[in-house]
Amino acid sequence: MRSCPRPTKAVAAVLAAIALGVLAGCAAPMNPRLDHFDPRAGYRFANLDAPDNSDDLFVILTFSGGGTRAAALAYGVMQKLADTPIQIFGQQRRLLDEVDVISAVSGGSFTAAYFGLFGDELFTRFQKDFLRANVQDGLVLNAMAPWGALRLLGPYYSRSDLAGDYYDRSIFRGRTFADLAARKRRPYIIINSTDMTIGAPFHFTQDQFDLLYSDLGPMSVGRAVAASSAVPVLLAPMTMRNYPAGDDFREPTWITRALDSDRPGSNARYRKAEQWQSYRDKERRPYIHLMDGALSDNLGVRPVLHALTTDSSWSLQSMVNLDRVRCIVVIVVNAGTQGLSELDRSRATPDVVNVARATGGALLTNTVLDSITLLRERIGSLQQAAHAPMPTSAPDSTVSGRNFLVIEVGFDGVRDPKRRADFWSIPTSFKLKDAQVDELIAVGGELLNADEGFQALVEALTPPPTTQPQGN
Amino acid sequence: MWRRILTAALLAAAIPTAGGCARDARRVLNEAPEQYVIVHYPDSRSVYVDGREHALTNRVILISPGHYEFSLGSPDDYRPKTVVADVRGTSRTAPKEIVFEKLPASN
Repeated sequence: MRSCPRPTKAVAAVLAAIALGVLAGCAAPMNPRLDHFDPRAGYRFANLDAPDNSDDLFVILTFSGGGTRAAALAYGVMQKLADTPIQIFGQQRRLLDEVDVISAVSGGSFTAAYFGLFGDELFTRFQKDFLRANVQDGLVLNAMAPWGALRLLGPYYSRSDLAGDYYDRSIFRGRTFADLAARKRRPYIIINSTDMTIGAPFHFTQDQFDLLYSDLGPMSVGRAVAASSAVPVLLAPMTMRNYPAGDDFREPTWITRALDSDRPGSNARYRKAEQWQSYRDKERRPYIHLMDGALSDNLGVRPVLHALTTDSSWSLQSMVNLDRVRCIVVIVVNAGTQGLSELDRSRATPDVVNVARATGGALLTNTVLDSITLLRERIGSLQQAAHAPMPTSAPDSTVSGRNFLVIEVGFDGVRDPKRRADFWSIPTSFKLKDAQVDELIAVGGELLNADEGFQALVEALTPPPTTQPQGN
Repeated sequence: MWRRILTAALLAAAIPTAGGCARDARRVLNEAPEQYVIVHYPDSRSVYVDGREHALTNRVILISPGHYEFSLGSPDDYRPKTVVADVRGTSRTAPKEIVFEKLPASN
């Protein structure tokens, strides 16, 4: 019997070179460098028109994490807004048309991004494309397929990159942030992830990418959603390049001013400035690793909190001062769950999957409560300031007769304890039963409709019934 | 064993992040979020704060506590060109007052 000839060293070297070449070619696409810095270009709030949308009523939605459970609950709320007719300045519209900003995290970012890209197609295609699709198995099959498995062998292609590519193909049709910007219309979609080194929220907006001297436009939306939902352990962090800034780069003035003049550690402004300025350290931070947005903000409310300050690029405070808004409504859609876990019945150490679930669930409950409390306080404070008495020296008031409202849609609001427990028991997963999806969509609309603040809002905006002239 | 290592790594990564969020929340809660400013100028004009349009002149306006650079919108007929002020400890009835003077029209 003849033995197979051993490959020579030269052949082995060639094979190794080919393998390396293949793996290098498998690297995930990096966010590109900016050609030049233009603080007015790209995907920013200021670049989105609102032709059918009145600034008088400014509506912000925030969607929490929670896999398909969160996406379906958010979808139910969107459907209810689409089914709610209102009248502003004599024109009839849907309340959905008045939505100006959607800030979303993890599972909720699927619904937000889909609506941002495809508008009302949300109501005709999203259920099939995502809510009722078995995304979880799709991800596993892609990872096990020869090409997927080979790419995952390389150091520059992670499970989150694979997820992003899969979402691009199967859900977001390869659309990019340039496509989102090209729509030139609100709502402004903010997809949130977490910068794992500094523990701060990282937003997929050009304002944030300016700090990396990077162009968000060519980035695919699917990759942003994958970064936003990169659950620790189950999915790997997604990596962004932090490029050396060009000579034309101008850091937002407030960052420098806060660091130069405010007191360290004394306020959130200083801390945010510190976090944002960390991207200037290109030697120590040439790469930024992003994880699930839920880790730093499970409700997606932190961009809204920032917008309540002077420094935001879409400052609500400025809009109030400039008399551009009269009513601000923040609808927080919270798909968080509660309740005791079966894990506590066993002495055995919880496995990785259960630890990952706990990290995205119970362990974040307190921070969720902090965020909601803070948002209500800040909105209340703005409302109070708006109605405070005028000093005699001021000839005019900018802030009077305004209404600011926070509405929370969450399973806490389900009155029937058994039904509530059923919702709390729905796992954080990308594969739910059709009946669960149906229930989640239905309860999203029900909970919004049952909220007293929402009822008062709708009543105030409902067109008056046309009175028929009575014949004699 | 590998599960414990992964668990420890996960918690080390996730818990400080969540804790940082809560600490931020407490910091913000300790500070009066709305401060008040009135920018005096003979005409009604846009007020720019750190380069962004934020309000109008001669009205009591809202601002977050901190240091800011104030300027006015065009035309460039006022002085000083900018005013840097620390805005804290104000109230609606006692706002921080910032004054810009109108330059005489040049021929």
